[in-house]
Amino acid sequence: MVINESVGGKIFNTINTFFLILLSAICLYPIIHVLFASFSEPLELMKHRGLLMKPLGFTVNGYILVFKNPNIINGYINTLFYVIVGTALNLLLTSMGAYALSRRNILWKNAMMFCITFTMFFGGGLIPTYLLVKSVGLINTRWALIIPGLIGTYNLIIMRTSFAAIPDSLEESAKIDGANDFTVLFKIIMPVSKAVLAVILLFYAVGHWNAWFNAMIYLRDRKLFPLQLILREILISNDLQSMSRTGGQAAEAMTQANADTVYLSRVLVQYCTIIVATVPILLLYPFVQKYFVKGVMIGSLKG
Amino acid sequence: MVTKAQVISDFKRNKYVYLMVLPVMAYYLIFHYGPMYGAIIAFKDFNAVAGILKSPWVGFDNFISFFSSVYFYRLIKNTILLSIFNILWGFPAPIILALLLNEVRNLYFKRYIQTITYLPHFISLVVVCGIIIDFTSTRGVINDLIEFFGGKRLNMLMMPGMFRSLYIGSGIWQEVGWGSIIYLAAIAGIDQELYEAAIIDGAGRWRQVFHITLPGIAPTIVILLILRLGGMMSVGFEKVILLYNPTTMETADIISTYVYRRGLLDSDYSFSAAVGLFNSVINFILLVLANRISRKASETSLW
Amino acid sequence: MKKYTWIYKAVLLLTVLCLMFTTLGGCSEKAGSTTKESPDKGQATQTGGSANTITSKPITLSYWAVFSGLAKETIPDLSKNEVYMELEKRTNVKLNFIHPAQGQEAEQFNLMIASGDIPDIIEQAERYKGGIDKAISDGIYIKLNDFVDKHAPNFKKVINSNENLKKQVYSDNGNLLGFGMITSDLPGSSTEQPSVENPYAGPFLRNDWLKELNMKVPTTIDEWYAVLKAFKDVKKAEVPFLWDKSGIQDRTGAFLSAYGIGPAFFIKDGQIKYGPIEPGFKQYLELLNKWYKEGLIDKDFPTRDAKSAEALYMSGKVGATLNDSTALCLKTRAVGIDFVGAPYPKINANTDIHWRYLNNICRDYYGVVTSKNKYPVESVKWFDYHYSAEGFKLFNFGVEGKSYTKINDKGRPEYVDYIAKNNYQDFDRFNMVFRLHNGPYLKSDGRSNPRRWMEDLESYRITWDKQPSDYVMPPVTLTEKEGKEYATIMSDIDSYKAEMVIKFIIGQEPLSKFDEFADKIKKMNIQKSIELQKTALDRYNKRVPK
Repeated sequence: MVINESVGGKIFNTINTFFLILLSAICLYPIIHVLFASFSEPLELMKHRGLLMKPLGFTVNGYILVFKNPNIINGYINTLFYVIVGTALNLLLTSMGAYALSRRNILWKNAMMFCITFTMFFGGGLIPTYLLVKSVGLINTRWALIIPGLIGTYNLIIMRTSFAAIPDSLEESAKIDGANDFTVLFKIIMPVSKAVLAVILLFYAVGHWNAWFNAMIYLRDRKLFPLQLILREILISNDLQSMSRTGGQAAEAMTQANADTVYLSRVLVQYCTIIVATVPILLLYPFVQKYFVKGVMIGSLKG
Repeated sequence: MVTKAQVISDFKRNKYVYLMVLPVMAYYLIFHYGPMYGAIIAFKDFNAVAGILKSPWVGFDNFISFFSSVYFYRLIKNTILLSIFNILWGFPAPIILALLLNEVRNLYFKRYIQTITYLPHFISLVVVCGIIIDFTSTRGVINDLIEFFGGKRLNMLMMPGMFRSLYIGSGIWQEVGWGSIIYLAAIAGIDQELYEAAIIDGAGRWRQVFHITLPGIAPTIVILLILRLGGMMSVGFEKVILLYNPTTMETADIISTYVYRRGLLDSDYSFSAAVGLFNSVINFILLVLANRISRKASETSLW
Repeated sequence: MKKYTWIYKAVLLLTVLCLMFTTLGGCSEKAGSTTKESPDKGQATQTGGSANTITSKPITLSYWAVFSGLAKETIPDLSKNEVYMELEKRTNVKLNFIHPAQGQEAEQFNLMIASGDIPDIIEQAERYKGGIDKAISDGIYIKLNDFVDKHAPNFKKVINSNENLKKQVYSDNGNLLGFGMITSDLPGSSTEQPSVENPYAGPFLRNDWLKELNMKVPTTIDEWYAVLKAFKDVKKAEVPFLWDKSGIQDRTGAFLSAYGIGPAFFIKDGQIKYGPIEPGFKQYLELLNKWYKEGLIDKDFPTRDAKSAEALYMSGKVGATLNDSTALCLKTRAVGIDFVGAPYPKINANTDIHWRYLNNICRDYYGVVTSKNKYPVESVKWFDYHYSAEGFKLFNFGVEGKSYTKINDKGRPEYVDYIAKNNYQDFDRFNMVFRLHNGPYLKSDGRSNPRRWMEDLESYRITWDKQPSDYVMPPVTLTEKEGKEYATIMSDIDSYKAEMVIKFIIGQEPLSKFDEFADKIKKMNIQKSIELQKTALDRYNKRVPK
């Protein structure tokens, strides 16, 4: 596409570019702050206020502390399992549901949508859900982190909206050629919906990556713990603030206990755990990003 | 209403669709509707040993306890105002960003900016609030700027009038990039031929945005707005707790922070369940209304 | 499309592999995580006496306990703790530990009770909603009184030796609360009486500044004023006094107590009073208001979070603060900043304070036996061992040869090199591995914790301990119903008080309006809360084992 830019267009481009650079600088700052802080000397870090533009001193002790925890490697492996298997199942079921609920002329469609959306607002709460998961036999198994969250309603709704926007002609011509709905979904709809699939994949993957609460509730065996739960433990062991919420006596004990971590500040560990937890997921995004290319629909309407 | 004949013919025609949606509905039935009886905990005086079903019934006592708080109106008001302003400023921001990014011609610049803007989403809330507190303190960076321009140094987190702006502004900073992802995916799904035709017809970039891009992502925008309205009452407590203090309570104290403080005095599941149920009912009513309006005004709706 | 098929295939393959992996692995995992294995019923054993072995055949008990802190890097759970391993050898009782995730103890405790997965022994049993009395009447915990009478002579001796302690460990209904963490010295020693742990926290000032200004450590409010003014004017301190976020030091009541009150509920002349509505509170607020106006208190104190507070005192900008002694001093000494502890201030030499931070003799951590336990007698005997002389040494010091070489003439252990290195830098990392810091036993922090051996820091604690504490409420308990009513009233009062206190201090609200403030609190039914506390106190005072 050749576009001749008008003067107005050129001015707009310049302003837009400046604005976006400014925005990215502001958005880049927190992660730079965290990154530099994670390599800083704890004593220097404790004294510091304001903007952080470079590491204060240099030490990898924070990272050593995080990684010498024997549970970390295990945590990474577990999380990898949860992300891969979980996201695959999520995508499969969500796209099936989104497809089904986006077709025209389904008698019970609205009823089902209502029932599904209803669950976003009303639920049983922690204890009944725990009892249910227990009765199904999932407690202390890996599946406890996958099955109870099998479909995210928000994601389902987004995908359904996107599938509904695809022209009917695609489905009709496929059906005329003898395809059933499964074929239509997997061979026609999904290839054309790469962008939204990529996004929902990202959402689910990040969700699994960040998950710790369900693991905390449903898992006893440390061998099954995901990364975030391990990191949380490290963080809290080194964090005075959350201690004070567990009760006066415990807070005293922890205060006494933490007095000595002079050489390894809790704040330092906090920053290191953020980097350790975040970097891998950041690596996922570029793979997902290339699906946000325009023109996915080219060629699909022809014929 | 629905005749038996209609049901049968619908099944015949759509049997694969129903087959496809079966595991989805089974999931919701088991894992969401299964535990839903637990919602009645709001009407009971919960006793862990008796379980939810056998705990004594107290009717609306828990609700009345909430309604009779001296601060009830203030809590409702602050929660609603915070939500409304958050929607007003926070909802369009990712859309605008997506549109601006869409106008960027250079692919690498676009990808670079996009990747950076979503980074703050991954920084934990505690760290982000730590940065905010530091910047807004009397000796903080923002006050340095204010003084430079001749203003007086003031602790911004002690000014009730500033609370919402700080809360919402920092929220936009953290979430605008991540939030724009879904819109970028939606933009990618717009048929390119529409743009080509428009250019041939002599439409400029403004026109293209208003007549093609925006209408193209309108279903996504509408659905997300409806869902957002359905979250009006559910403002989380974590960020507010980290940012508020007694000087800003009059604008900062919301329903969830009140329930949290109450829980510290006496961890009462029934009370928090009752408040949660109250919130959910209002949220759901808002959602239904928004959905109905949307169905009349546009073709997009949840059901 | 081709792209898609291979992705799906890969995922499918991975899924199948993982499924195989987990079902195979899962079998053994599941088996390992069952709570109880009782190979055979334990025989009835000898009555209490010298024999350590509780049972001739080994038994296994499941044990719910909090496991927090840095030890997690070294051992996966407490069963690998040296103390418990040695204990198993000595008593023939094996423990299967169940640990809640750190930071989520309350939720996991409630889930445990609600789901019915109740272990044999629970530590920190006081977490039960409604209190231990309710747990007993609900049939979850068993009533220990008779068991202790018959099978726990050591423990019985300890609790009968002190009237105050007796009131603390028995509930309002006369039930023994459980095996608690009791501060005491070595049984059989001359100082074996249960006692009270010295207070941890108090006021601190910059020692070097005081010396430069040629001023003594202040003891009265006026002396404090002079010192703070000097800190500001002469030393140009950015923050002469780093104050508590809420405006009130709830834990120590410092400065507030000078005016004859306590920060919340306290006892005076047999009456229960609520600090914030007393005239003394107005005087306290006036003091702080004056200091705030003159810039002697941190201008940003309502928003001062822990991290920026730390940044301030670590960089030498703070003149005085209220803090825990070791937490503050060890950190700041590492950067060459010297803080000295000061007594809680009084108005002048003729008055005194009556409220301060006060530890209880028994600091909770109650271990109880549940109704699911098949070996209550053995469990009680097992607990009793904790309170014997041998048990004392084991829990406080660890295993001889492993964590310490010998006991020196001060009665303190000489810890082995790698625990003692770097002046006990890593003491806490090894704390939960070689000994037990908190738990149901006779704890002597003074004997066993190297940080208590620092004479100067200890001297501050001793000073505080000598100050009167007669207004302090004992650890009373409210019933479940009372607790609910109390929470309903106090949530609103606490919110109102929190807001108004700050407004008074920073001058947004004139102090002439104090009476309106007190009246409003009265209208919010503070009297009912006071009555509830009074009823609880009366029950406490009448406590008798039943």
